[in-house]
Amino acid sequence: MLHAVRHLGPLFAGLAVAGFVLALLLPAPQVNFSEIGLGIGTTAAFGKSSPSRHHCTTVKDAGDCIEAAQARKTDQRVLWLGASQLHAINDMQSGDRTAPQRLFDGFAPQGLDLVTFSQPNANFQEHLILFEYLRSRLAVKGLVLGAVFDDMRESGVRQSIASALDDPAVRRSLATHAAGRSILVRYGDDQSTPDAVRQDGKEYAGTPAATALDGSLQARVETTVDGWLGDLSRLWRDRGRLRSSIIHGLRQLRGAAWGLRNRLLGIDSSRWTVAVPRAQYDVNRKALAALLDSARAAGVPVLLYICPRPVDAYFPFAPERYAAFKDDIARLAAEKGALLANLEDAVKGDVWGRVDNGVGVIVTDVFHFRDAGHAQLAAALRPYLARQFLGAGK
Amino acid sequence: MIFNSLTYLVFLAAFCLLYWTLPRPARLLLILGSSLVFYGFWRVEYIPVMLASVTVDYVLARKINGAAGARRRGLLVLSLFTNLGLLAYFKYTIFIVDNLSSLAGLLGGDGIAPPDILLPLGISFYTFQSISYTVDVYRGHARPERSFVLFAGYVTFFPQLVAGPILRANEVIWQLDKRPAFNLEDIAAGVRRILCGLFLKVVLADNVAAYVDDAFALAPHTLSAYDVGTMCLLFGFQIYFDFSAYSHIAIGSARLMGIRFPENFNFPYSAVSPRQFWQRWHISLSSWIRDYLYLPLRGLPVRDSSEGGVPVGDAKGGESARRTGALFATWALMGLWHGAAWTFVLWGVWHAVLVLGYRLIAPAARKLRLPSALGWCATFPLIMLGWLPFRAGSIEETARLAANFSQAAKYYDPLPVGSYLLSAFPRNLNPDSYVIAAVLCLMVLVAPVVKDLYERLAAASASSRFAMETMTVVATALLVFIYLRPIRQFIYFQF
Repeated sequence: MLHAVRHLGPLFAGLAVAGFVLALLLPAPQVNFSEIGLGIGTTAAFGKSSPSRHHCTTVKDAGDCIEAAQARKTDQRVLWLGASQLHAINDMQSGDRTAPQRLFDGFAPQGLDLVTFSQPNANFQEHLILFEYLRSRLAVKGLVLGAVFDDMRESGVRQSIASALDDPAVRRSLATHAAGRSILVRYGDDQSTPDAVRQDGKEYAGTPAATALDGSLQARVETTVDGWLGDLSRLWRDRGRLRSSIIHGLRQLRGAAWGLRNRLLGIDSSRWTVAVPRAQYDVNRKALAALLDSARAAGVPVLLYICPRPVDAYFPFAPERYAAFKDDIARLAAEKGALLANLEDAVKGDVWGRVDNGVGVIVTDVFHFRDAGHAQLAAALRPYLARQFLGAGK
Repeated sequence: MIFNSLTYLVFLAAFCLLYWTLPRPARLLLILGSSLVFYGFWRVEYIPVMLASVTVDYVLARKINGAAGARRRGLLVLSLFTNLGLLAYFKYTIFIVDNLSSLAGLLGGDGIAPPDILLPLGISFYTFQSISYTVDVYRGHARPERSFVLFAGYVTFFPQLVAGPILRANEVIWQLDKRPAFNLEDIAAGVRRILCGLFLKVVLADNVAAYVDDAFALAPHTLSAYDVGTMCLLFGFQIYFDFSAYSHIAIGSARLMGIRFPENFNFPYSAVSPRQFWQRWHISLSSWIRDYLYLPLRGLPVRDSSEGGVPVGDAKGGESARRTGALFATWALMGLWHGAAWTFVLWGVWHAVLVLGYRLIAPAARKLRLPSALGWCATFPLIMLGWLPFRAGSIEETARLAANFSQAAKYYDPLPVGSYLLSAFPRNLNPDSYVIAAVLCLMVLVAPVVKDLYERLAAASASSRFAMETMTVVATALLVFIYLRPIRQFIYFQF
């Protein structure tokens, strides 16, 4: 008996304590991952209250927007691809509307059907995949693209967009250019971005449970056992959320560590600089070029705009790099025949949100704004949309 | 079957239950049958290839034992021809055709279409194991096994079938034949090793892998010297966690049956010389290479154990052409064993260069009584840099990435006055990559100390041992439960 306790005791005691800890973790407050990084008091609004769905996120809910769009029976459909600026409303009140909602409502009487897809920290590789996926499904006649300098540093393709690569038509389209082939090599063989490394706000859970098994007998058994355990146990089902919580906790720990470093070294944490790595910039720039080429080849006119940023607040990017980015976007638009709109100063005044800059310092959120900001963005975009897609003012 | 899966855990539990209840003859059949099921869960169609290799070696080893002189040698050559022929066909045909095709292209001829051949899982491991058996019988280090079931069970034994450790017949067959008594210590130790392996794989290796894949997906010319260094470090840790995880699970699974496997890793990144690294990394392979390739090439006496790694103290007569030739030939072939590509050969040659360099400077270092920490400071980065060709997709990509170390612009990014100093060091990877690489490097330094402290605390009293082991189980079981998903193969499956 003593022998058994000595050898198996720690094992059973350890497993029991681990089970107890897991049971304690489960009722822990749920983190809303779709709103991480949106800033303080900022809400993700996708126009779901609208009677006809026109604003979606990824392939995951694309069916809702496609179905609603088909029911609207409009020929002139424009797809708007962007980042969280399009769906985030700071200090959201009843009746507040996002810019996509305002423009959808505003252009509907003129027969222009604006369908928006936006994701937190979206990058142009993801936009490229989504465009290829939605182009025929939505019978897209025009494309609006928002260019955010910060998102040029984003890497990877989230699982809920990479799943579009299962579509043979998408694969065929992407295979026609180097940027697309690179995406196919990286994400096309069930090697979707694992959930551990994405930036705040992207989906952490979602990698299929058995991607390494490659159609083997074990893949089928594994999927069955995994599903069976999921039906049986909430603990098993919630593992994705626990993984996400661990990542979230580590990121908070990192922020605290940087904050401590800044305090100890006397670094002004309100004047931090966000680096946009050249290599990642290059990947996203090539994806944008491929996207503009693909749209032109499909006869889809493009409106490319530089996203608003606060005029009066500290903008945490190297000024010369940001200027080079704007030049780059303008050059690409000219080369590829897209209409360029520089809307960087379009949203003015005290309409921007507040955000923890990652090291515990509350600063102006340079990406998201309140309802009034959405109204300004919609107003600034309206003439460009009319000109490019309704032929007004030409 | 992949270890980091629910399927394997269920399979292993069912197997162990039967293993400890069935009588001996049925138990041997159970081992063989289960190993075939284990293999078949991946690809049923390659079971005959494996069984063919097993049958040939079973028959030839028995004939070798009864033969003498030229016939004995001829039978050994036949065995080697069969095993290496299988390996050559399945693993190297595409490589050879590709090279011939490139050569034909250079000479103005037409390219040759590569054949469609799928590499059977674990072929590099089970053919090497089979070869070691027939060679050992030939040398008189092992006796030929009478029972086909027992021999087939040894070669196909599922814990080590697809990624080692590469075991010698005299280390395992007797254990399979004579089932050890049921022992709770073995069960507890086996479960702990499996938990440890799963932790290394699903918590560490798979998560580091995501950063590695992201980094290697970037265009080489856009990366800085710091990026390439970080990529080498991250991949070095990924492959270590991944492969040592497999070995832990293999050793733990065998331990559940009361069978002891030799260790395959021993803190390799703490090595203070390239030679010591190879005595700590993939020990069963380096020992195999030592006994069946390097020492015969040097004309030195061989050993009959899969422990010890590369030889120490074989420097009699100093550096000779034969010794250096054997070193380079051995390491180039070891590289080629890992994969049919020139990048792997380059990796092997890089290690040969390191070992040769060490041989040349070691006497002077000993005379000067240089501290061993200095050896680590030189060895660790060079070993890590060596992973570049191993992970890069081609020689061209390796050269482009390596070239980043030779350009001043890849070290320094001139910035306007007022920018942070750190911004002058160009970095293109996910910012977390650098932090993770730094933390893992720190772990290399502290891991042996922590292990020593853990063992001392555990040895202090029964209660402290209980507490230490319980805490370890809590931490690993929690994280393994949360992260267990077969989202990635083990890297060594492809070899």
